[in-house]
Amino acid sequence: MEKKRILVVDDEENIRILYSEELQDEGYDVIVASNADEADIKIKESNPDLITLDIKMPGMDGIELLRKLREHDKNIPIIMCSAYSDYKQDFRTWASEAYVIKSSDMLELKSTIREILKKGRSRE
Amino acid sequence: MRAVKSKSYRRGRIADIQKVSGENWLEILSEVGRIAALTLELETRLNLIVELIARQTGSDACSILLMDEDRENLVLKATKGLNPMSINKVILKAGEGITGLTAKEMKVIASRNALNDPRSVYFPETWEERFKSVLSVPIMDKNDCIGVIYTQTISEKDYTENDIRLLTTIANNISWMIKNAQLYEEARQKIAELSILYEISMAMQTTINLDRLLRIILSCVTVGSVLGFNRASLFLVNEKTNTLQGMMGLGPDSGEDARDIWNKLTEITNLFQWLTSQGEALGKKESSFDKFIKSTRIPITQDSGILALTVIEKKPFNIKDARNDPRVNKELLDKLGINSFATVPIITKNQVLGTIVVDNIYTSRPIRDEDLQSLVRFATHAGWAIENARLFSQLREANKDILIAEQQLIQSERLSALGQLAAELAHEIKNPLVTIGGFARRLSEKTDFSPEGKKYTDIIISEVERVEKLLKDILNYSRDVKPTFSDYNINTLIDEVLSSYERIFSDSGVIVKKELSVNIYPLHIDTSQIKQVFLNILYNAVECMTGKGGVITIKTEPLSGEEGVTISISDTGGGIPPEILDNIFNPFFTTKRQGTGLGLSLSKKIIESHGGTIGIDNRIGEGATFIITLPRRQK
Repeated sequence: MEKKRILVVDDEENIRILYSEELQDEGYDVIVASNADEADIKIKESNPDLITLDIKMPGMDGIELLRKLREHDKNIPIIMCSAYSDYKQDFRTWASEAYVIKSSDMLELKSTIREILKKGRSRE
Repeated sequence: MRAVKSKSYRRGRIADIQKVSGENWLEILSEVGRIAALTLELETRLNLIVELIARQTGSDACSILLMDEDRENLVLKATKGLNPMSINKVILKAGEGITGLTAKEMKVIASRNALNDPRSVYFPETWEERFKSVLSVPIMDKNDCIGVIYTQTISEKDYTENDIRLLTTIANNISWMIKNAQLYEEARQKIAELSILYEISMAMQTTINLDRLLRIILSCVTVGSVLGFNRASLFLVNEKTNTLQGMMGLGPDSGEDARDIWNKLTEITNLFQWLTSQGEALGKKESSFDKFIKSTRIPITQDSGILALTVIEKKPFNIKDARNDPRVNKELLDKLGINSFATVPIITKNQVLGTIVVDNIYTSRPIRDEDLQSLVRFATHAGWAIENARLFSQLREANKDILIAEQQLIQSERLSALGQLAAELAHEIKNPLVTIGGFARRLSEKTDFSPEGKKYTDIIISEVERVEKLLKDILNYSRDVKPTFSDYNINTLIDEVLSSYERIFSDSGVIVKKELSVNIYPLHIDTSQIKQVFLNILYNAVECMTGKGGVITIKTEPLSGEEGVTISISDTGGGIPPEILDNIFNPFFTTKRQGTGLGLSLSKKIIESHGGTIGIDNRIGEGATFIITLPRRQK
């Protein structure tokens, strides 16, 4: 079976490194982007199966990017990843598949990704 | 009269008669006129007159009686020859005795031997037994008799026409002198009263402190030169309880005390200064009278006695025989130990503020209606001053409330600024923390560490976890909690919470008892938030009983008075130390090394956002009970 490809969008380099290594260990193909523009390019280039999206980023933030992505592609699963829990209440984030609060313990993120990809496969 | 004259008498008194006839008459009358020019004072005038007449008529005594203000009694006002101590003491009714008859019938009476005269009445205190003859002449003012002037002689005397005409002429001449001296006296008293009232109102304006003011007021009522009552007390209306409340009593406790105080009072030269100093005298030893008054409460109803009536009917009462007055409350009377007293209402703008009660317990001086009138006038001034003081204290209270509210506002603004700062800081810390912890975990998984290496990375991981939990609590706290409500059975919620805690209870040796009422409505609540509250409280309870074991009791019962539930969670952990009890709901307060101190303050915030309350019943040595009330619906 072909590896699922995940795009990690986060402005913090160390987070990108942590996420890619952890997710690669989970058996995913991981590509990264540090801002909205880069994410746009990477999505067109590599057509990822799932995107994790940081909210607070310089330039266009995660919520705005989410809105833009949804205009083009209604189906690509997106997980909002933030240190803030506040945005959970922001209805604009409801367009995403899930909302995970960043933690040094990656179990929640990993299980969420797994579940979403599994659902997606059963839907296909 | 001429008929009783004897020849021998006439011979013996020729010289005397000549003396008082002709120029001598004029001399006497001009001397009377000089007295008028000499002084305006009634007492001095009368004294000079009786002396002059006794001397010029060769009488052994000359005295003047004047009608009192009620025009009922004659009072001895001046004498030459009688016991001077009897001045003002000899009081006789019109018609009583020779002089009384003179006044009543407005005619001259001459009696050669008054001792045998059936019309005579003797007053032993005047020492008048030694006098035989008396000539008594009315002092007329137009058609009114205002007094009597009379001469007495030790030896028997036949009064001649001349004697009678002389004394009558003198009486007519002194009438206007007495009259205008009386008017002068009255005017002087009025002025004195006015200037005293002025000084009093000035003194009352020196303070807006109610206690000091009341003391000044009562000092005014009791000071000798002013209203001069022995004792005075002041009651104010308490509108909430509809009672008269004793505020202050001023007066000596005994006759001896009274003398001491009155001796001091005679030294007062500056009334204003003295009165204001009385305001300062507060806090000095209180008399038992004061204590009694302060402890007195009288309901304002028709049947509660004179004080209540004074307020209800808005008028003064002068009670002369209290024992036999059905309106008087006998219990109060016994405590006051008096049989006569007076009350006046304190009225401003048609509203009765209270009453002033006065008595003359030590001197037993009757309270005259004009005393009462002065007191009524005074009470009006006092009323305005009390009203001012009250308004001022209300203003001060309101101002205090505003200040407190302002303080709270500043405090909550500070807290909210602190909250925002904490939130921002938390986020800045969160990202690096995630990477530190994340890589520590990878390190721990990927690397084949020595036992020390494993231990160290585990410490990093757990410490990062701790900080992450702290940040999560802070972020939850600083964020406004907006509950999402649904109808839920609180008993079910409790069961869910308890089952998820089951292992922790058994590990800690804690037994859980449930006393859940079935008669409760489902509540409109945010279940996850309320769950959080229960978890916080249970966590604290378990922690204080860990190692010792204990019992946690959870009870639900319907809220009394409205729809809702009371939930009580009790432990047997020994209670909360009193020194920290006040702080447990304060944010960031904790006694635990591992805690953030946000648990209980967050719980309070959650319960309050549900329109409920949370409190503690703390029993030192036994345990604590958290009592939560939740309305069925948030208002």
